[in-house]
Amino acid sequence: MPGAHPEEVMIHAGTQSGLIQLENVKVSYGAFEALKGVTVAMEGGAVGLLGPNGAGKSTLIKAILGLMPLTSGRGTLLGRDISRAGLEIRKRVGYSPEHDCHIPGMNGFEYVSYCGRMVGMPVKDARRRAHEVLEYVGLGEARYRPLDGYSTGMRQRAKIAQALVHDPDLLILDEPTNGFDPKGREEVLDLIHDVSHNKDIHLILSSHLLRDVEKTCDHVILLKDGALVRSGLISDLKSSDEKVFTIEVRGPKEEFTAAAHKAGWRYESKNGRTAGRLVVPAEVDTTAIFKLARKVGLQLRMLVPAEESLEELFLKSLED
Amino acid sequence: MPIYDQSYAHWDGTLEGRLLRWKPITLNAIRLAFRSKLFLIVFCLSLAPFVIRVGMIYAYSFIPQLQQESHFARLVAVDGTFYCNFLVRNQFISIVLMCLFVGCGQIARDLKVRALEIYFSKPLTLLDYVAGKFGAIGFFLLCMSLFPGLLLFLSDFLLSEEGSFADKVQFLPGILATSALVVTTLSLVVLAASALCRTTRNAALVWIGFHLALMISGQILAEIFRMPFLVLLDIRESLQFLAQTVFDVERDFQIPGIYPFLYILLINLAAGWVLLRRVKKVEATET
Repeated sequence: MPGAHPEEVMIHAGTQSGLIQLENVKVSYGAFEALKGVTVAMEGGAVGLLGPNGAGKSTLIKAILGLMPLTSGRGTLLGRDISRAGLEIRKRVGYSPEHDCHIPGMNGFEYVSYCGRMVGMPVKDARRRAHEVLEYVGLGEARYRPLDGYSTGMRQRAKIAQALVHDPDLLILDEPTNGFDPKGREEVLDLIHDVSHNKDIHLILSSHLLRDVEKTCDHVILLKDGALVRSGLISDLKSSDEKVFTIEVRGPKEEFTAAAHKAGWRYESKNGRTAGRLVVPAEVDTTAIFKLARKVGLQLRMLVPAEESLEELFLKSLED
Repeated sequence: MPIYDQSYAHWDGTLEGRLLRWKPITLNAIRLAFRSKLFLIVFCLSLAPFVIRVGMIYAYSFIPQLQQESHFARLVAVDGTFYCNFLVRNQFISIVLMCLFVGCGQIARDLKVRALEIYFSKPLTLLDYVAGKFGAIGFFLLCMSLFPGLLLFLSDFLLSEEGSFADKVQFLPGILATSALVVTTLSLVVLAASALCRTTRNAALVWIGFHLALMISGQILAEIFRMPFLVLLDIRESLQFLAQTVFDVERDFQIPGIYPFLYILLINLAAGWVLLRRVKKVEATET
């Protein structure tokens, strides 16, 4: 590879491709095990990193950036060994941390070009790119204002700009929509979606906001207590061996509930309400539902297939 | 098409090598320091002792009446003792001001705003970061020690007709060695203090407290044990003693120079250890 530095260490040739590949990665803070043998592989695209507080999301980000030594296991990010090629990885990654992290006394332009310089960009290029990415994230007119005077949303945009300044192959964003008003939030989610889907830049988005992940990502890695709960394409994870319908009924609900249970289905409705959810095996079609309803004398007033949201998937996975 | 689509283009330039990765940190810190008007005033005032000295040498060289004044001649005599006193004692207040205005906030401010997360998400090592910060405070301390020392040497070399070329050049290694000792020691100590705190004010208090504690304990121990050289616990006294040794002039105490050297070396190692350990700990837990 031309210009490659000696520290640019590749793991064995079979696993050079792909965004992230972790094999039984364990990371500990003293006696506390923050990651408990995570094994995951993602080819690329936009990946959401989900999990409740303390799940190990930040530790996982630190580990893949080569900032945390692994207790055991191994892994690659963008084909580089995370244990040995941290510097090379960080050259190709743009990271926007969760916290403010702005350097006092600078304006937006100086901050972003300074970050470009720290990566190793020549002065001229760093300045030109700073103008470009600040324009891109919507801070074009505020670029010469001191960072100290930026609103929380503007600081988030400045952090995204500093992460993009060197045109990384992978953008890692940690809670990027914190502090935004609804309009600003939509704009930033659109921007993140644009980066990951139209600009040929991989994305890892760590968030506790499922909607953000659902809107911007195609894949998800779900962590709980330092362990991997689920991972894969969001659409695949949503399509399970069950079908879910939203139904509205009138008539003997108790009989219908009992008959559904007998057939191996699940009917859930809040007390007294006519609307509810019916979960049936994937092979059951709507005709069978109508037949059962007729059998118990139930009037079906609405039957709509319901798409399982990421939130439901998330909660179900955590319960499991 | 949204507006932002028109403003993003891929960058196909080449990243610079790793060796000078500390340089932007140093240059940025210097630039930010000079942006403060108060600091600019302090910086200019700190150069006053040097300007006065140059003025005195100039006046002595060009005003014949002054050359008759033996008292004035002693004042402007540029010899080893002069450089010793100038580089350590005379410039110490200026160095203290630089440490307080520039050094104490270097790492403390980054810790306060959690800027280490930004630094270490870049291809920077712990040593790059520390070297960058050291470069910044080192530059300002060099402005107060080495540069005035060299300019005084140059002034004396060009203006004074006393002494031969060889007599004057012999001071050059002493100036370099003394400045290096002063700058390295005081930079490391102030950066260690800065790394221990999250505000510039607290770092300044820790730094001043550390120097005062060594100075006072040195004087107390010297009184208790009737050993005057124990005042060398004060970092400034030790540096002065080492400068006297380097310039081979009359020393304040009759003890081998190796002891103060080892003491200063110990201070440097301890400060370096605290600095690296503290930044590494924060890097591991907060980034």
